[in-house]
This record gives sequence, C-alpha cells and structure tokens, in this order.
Amino acid sequence: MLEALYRREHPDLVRLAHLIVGDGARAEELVHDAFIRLMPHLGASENPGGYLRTTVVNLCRDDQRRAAVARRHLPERPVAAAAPDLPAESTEVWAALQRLPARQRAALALRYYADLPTEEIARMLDARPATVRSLLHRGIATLKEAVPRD
Amino acid sequence: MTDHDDDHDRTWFRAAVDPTLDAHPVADRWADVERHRGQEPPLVVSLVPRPPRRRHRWVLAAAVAVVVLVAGAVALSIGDDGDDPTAAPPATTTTTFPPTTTPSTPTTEGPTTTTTTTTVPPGPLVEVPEVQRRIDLASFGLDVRYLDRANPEVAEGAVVSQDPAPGTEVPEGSLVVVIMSGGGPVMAFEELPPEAQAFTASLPDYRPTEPIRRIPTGRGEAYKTDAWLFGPCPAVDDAALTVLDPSYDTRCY
Repeated sequence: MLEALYRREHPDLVRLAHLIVGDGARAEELVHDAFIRLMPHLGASENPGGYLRTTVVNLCRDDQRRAAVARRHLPERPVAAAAPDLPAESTEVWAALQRLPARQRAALALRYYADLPTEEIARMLDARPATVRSLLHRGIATLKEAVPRD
Repeated sequence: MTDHDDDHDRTWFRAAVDPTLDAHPVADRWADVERHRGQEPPLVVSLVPRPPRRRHRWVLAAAVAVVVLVAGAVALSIGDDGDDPTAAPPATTTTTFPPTTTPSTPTTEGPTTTTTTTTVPPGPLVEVPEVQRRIDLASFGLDVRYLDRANPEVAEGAVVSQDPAPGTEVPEGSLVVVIMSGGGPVMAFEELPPEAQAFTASLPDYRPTEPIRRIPTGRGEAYKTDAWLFGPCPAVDDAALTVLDPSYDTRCY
C-alpha cells in the first residue's frame, strides 16, 4: 500500500514542493520527511494522499519561515538558479516566482499545479477563500509582468 | 475571476514553470522510506498510541473493591439463613485487558467465596500532542476543537492554551479543546491609517474583509486585515507604513 502510494504521489509532491520552496533538492527532503511522518498513521488515515499533500505544504511553509528569518540577515534574497538551456520566459518567470511571498507561491502551486479548489487551498493556508483569490490574482499578475517583452 | 481566466492562468503557469521542473528529475528514494518502516516520526511530538500502562491501576482498585463488597454481602446473606453452609462456590475468573488471569483476592474469614469480575477493554491511549497551530488531529485518534477568543496579548492565530495539557494520556477519540487567539480589538476599515487605506485601494480586486484587528506591539500598533498586516517597520524607524505579507515578508514604505 505504501509503495503504491509512494509511486503514485511522490513525483507530483516533489514538483509541488519544488514550486513552493524553489529548490529541487530541498523539495525532495521535505517530501521524504512527509512520507516518514505518514508511516505510523498509514492504516488510520482515510485519505493518505491528502494527508501527504497537507503535510508537504505545511513543511514547505515552515521551511519558508525559517528561510525568511535567514534572509533578514542577507542583503539580497537568494534566488535558486534555473537550469541552463531553458527558454528565457521560463527563466524569468521562475526567478519572479521565487521572489513572490511564500504564501502567494503556495497558492499558485496548489491552484494551478495541484488543481485544488480555492476552498481547499484556503483550509490548507489558514486563510479565507477571498484571500486565496487575492493571492492568486496578485501572484499571477506579478509573474506575467516578469515575461520578457519583445 | 472567471473560470475562463482561471483555465487560461493555469495553462500559462504550467507552460512557464514546467521546463524548470522538468530540468530537475525526481530521484526515486523508495528504499530510504522503507528503512523507516515502523519507526517513530522524527522531529515531532510522538502521536502514536502507546501500549496500556498505568491506566489499569484504577481498574484493579475497582475490582478489589467489588470483590470485597460482594464477598461481604455473600457472607452476610449466608449468615442470615445458614441453611446450606456447604453450598458450592461459583467459579472464579478475573478478566482484564489485555486478557490475563489473576487469582482472586482472599477476602474474609467466612466461607471461601469467589467472584467474577469482568472489565470492559478500554480503547488504546494516545498522548495529547502540543498543538502549535491549527491542524487536524483526527487521524491521530483525537477529536480536536479550535475556539477563537479575542486576546490582544497573543498574536492572532497563535495557540493560547489547550485542554488536556500536552503529554496527557487520554483514551482514543477524546476531545481536545485548543483556545486560539483571535487577536486584539476590532476596528473598521475607515479607522486604518491613511497610508494603509491608500495601499489597499491601490490593489486591484482586493478590499480587506472586516473585522480588522488592532494589535499592540512593542513599537506601536499594528492592524491585521484578512490578507495584510500593517504596522511599525522593524528595519526602518521613520517608515510611514509597513506591510507585512502573511508569508512574513516585510516591505517598508
């Protein structure tokens, strides 16, 4: 059961975490941690996929808060480097995504990548649905501004 | 935001981020997960039901009390009629959970009397975790209820207290009440500082939802809306306005 769950959920969870924390290696660590936390409760959880996703989002947010504290001591917020040989648009949008406030980034990832409804995202982020819609609106507008103009 | 806009934004977002995500193939670490099978989760308070321990003390005490009372009653009734002092005593078993056989306690100096005491197997105990934020504990066997109470001294959304206290062992399914701070006194949008009102007015498609909380801080008042926190700037003393995004990013104006 666990292996099937891992095979099914792990890749998408890592991509989701990667979007939120902006670092692929860190995303893998957080998702790995989420699976380990699920282990003792695997039989009791009616929706282990949902439990995992919520845990990953919470771990990402905790990680972002720790990173925010660290950033206060740095002159510039470090932005994870995009891989080489990517389209300019992807590189710019990715960099802009990393500069977004963590909650906006999480809302974008959950809505446009995990395809969760606004109400579910609101529950996961401890926010009102209207707040989530505002986060999405502002987030996507900021990203579109980052697209290089011809 | 219309469904069409939403679909368009989703398509655009995925097209923009997929190349970067695809450039970082996800490693298969299933073998690492396997190694942790059956282990306690790291870094968090143990939420795993523990095997029964001290909880049997009161059960045993109650069982002894029942034995004494029943034996006394039987001795009295035999003493009253005295017709058949040689009547065979009933069988003796004491059942506990997990099932073990315990010899009955000798009680009186009268005729040898034994009793049958059966205790209902109690559910497994779970240790109440220290709740630090609003999370669902249902999968851990606890029914947790969060109550928001205005509290100007504790940041909104932070835990004020919980009952039972962390570390308490309670039967599975027990109610855990967590008092959350609802923040300070409320205020109307018009009472926000002009800079904060102007800032929210500059945002497209956004108006703060009342009530707005007034939160005292060490350097003056902060104002918490549903999406923003306005308050004294931690880095710039003479900044007119600080906007603290809910993600804790801070911008001073």
